[in-house]
Amino acid sequence: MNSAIRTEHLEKRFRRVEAVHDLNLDVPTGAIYALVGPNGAGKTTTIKILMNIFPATSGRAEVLGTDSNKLAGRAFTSIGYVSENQHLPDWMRVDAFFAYLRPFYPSWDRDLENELVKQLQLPLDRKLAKLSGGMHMKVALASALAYRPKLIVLDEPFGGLDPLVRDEVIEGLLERASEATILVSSHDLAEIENLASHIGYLDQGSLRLSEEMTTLADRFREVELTFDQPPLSPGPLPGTWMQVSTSASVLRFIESRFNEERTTADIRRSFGDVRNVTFTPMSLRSIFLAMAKTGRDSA
Amino acid sequence: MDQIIHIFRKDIRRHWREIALSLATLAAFAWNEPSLWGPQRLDEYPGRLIFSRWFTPMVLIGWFLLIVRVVHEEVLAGDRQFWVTRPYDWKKLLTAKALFLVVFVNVPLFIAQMVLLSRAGFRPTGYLSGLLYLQLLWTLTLILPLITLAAITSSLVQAILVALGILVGLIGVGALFSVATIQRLTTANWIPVWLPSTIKVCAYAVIVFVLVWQYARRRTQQSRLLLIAAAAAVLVVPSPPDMFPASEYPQPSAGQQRVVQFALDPAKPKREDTRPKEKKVILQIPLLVSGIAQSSAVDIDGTMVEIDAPGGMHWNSGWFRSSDFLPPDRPFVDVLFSLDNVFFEQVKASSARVHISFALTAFQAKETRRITAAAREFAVPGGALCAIVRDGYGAIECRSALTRPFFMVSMIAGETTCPPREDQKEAPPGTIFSTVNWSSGSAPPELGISPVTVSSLDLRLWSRTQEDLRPRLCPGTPLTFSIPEEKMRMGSELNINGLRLADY
Repeated sequence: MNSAIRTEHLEKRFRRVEAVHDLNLDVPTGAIYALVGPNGAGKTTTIKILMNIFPATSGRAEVLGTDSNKLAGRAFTSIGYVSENQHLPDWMRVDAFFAYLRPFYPSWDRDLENELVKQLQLPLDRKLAKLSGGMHMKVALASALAYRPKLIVLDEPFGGLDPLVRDEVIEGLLERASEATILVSSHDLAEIENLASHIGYLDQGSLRLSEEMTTLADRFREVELTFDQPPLSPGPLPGTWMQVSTSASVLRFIESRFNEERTTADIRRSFGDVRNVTFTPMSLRSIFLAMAKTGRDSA
Repeated sequence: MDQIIHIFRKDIRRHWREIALSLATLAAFAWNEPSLWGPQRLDEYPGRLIFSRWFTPMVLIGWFLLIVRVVHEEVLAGDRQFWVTRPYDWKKLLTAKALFLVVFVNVPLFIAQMVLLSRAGFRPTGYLSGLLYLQLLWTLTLILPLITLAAITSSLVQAILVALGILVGLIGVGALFSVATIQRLTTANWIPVWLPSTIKVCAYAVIVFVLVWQYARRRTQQSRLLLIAAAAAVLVVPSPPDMFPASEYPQPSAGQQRVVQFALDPAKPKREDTRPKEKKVILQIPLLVSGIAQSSAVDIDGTMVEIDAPGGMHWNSGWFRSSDFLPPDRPFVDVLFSLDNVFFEQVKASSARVHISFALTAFQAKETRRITAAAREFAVPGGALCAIVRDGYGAIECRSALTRPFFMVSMIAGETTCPPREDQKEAPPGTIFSTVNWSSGSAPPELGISPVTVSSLDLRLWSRTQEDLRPRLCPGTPLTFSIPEEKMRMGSELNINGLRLADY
């Protein structure tokens, strides 16, 4: 599969602070790629480098086959970028804003614009300055979708949105998902879980994990072992086990490379006979919490 | 082109207030400016004169706001602007901004200048090249640097602070360089003459480069550093000392007639009021001037004084610039120079030999016309329009288009048409009163909003003893205007023996 976005050893320093470190990112064409991580992880910095808002310190990034350093002008007719901290021309009314943007995009679709206005319930006769944060974001989103971009980049689009607006935005995105690659950054995992096809976990400027959502969900399991009596301290445990804890005759851990046969064999090897073994699928939130707590590179 | 016009139209919608303010201040300037011309202004426009000094700063502030705001509409500094991720072509964006400024700064200024020329009595179409030169001057000295300033700042407040910082810096550096000691240090001989001007040209190139680079790549930090480095280079490398080109004034060859002769004036003149300088004594040596032919004039461009005192003591002032214009009726001139206090104290009582070298430019009148002063305005050679400031007094005020014309004007006391005044001593009929409207002649127009230059001229009697005699100009009084033309440059020497410096 071709890559809509690819970075190689991308680095960004702000004086002494290293915001992005050796980032190798690959967003497949057609994917809905969620870039997640705690606040300050480097998500926005990464996206701003990708959008050529500022340059990388070293390494390279390619967006739709173009070096991100050269991304300008016409290239943005294929890219829709929306960010919560972007300054729109607040003095314009919503309808004037759309009217102003239309001539920039040969592929601007008036029917789609009208559809988005209706779907997102945008007040055309109001100035952008008078809109709430959520409405502002919806206008920005509509203005980035109406020309059917090949790549949609959303930087923290859900921040500050109430649940209703958030659902509307997600719905709007999902309707466009079949015709575009979407890169969305967020620190709220619950929103991403039902949206993304791929996920990358960024922490302290480094990409800890990058894979398809289904693979991620498949390879993480909460494992609970029940023994007849408290387990003896075993030898070295497999490196893929995280957060191992015992309580009386129960031992729990998180398997980060779950394969039922292999994991069962690993358990036998470490503990011999076990009275009961349960494997519980994990939510995205639980997976990342575990990773954050462990601080281990389990990717 | 579509994108250029699209952005241009959006900017008009967005900045109509700034446009209106800028046009209003320019219109106010153009409306007020004529009140500053002509001698009757005090009577006709007393109220306007109070505000007139504010019109020029207001126009400049209007332009500052307009330029900075329109560039900041698509701000280049920062990382939150929406337009950078939209399909803007930077060349078209820059062109749209340039078009906006041409339409709302250059064109209104051009129109205002045409109107002013017309109101001043000049035919605007006759001065198109000069007006276009003024446009270029404004673009290079104000508009381009302001666009660059806006291109590296992210808000109006930031731009104002930077502009104020630059102003304060310039004032500070000016003050620093005015301190004599530092001036001596900084005008050291190691600085090649070509270096400061080359650095200034390079600094200007940096301003243009940064502007284009910012639009093309938006590298704000690097752009700011480049500009700071350019400014630092201009400030650190000072201009070399103003070397007087004495070699351009050769000594007259044997047999060549001298254009002027100097001799020590035995009369001890009243000292001019000069501020004493620290560790310096100011001397004023009175000279008699003779030999200037009628319809000629001489300008003393530079002077050098050497003093030899008993005991082998020697002092040399080096060449310094002076600008004493000597019309044929001027019989005297004073040579003023400052002398080291220590040297003066050592030699003041002794009999010194003073050698004065002059660098002279000789002029010959290429056109002389007698013109009768009219009740209101009258045209004079050189394209100026003049008027008597006040009947019965000896002042005229002349206005001209773009540049100040170079002419001499004189009147003969006996030809006055003014009625006699009891409170004023009557000058003998043959007394000549004269003055000069000095200009380097070929100089290009100076930067200004108004293309009309105004000069006030006081006719005077060149006499040390009859200073109480005043010219009296009234409508009908004949005046003689002559336009001098440079004929030659030459040196002249004067030796004065046995001068006691303490007497001067």
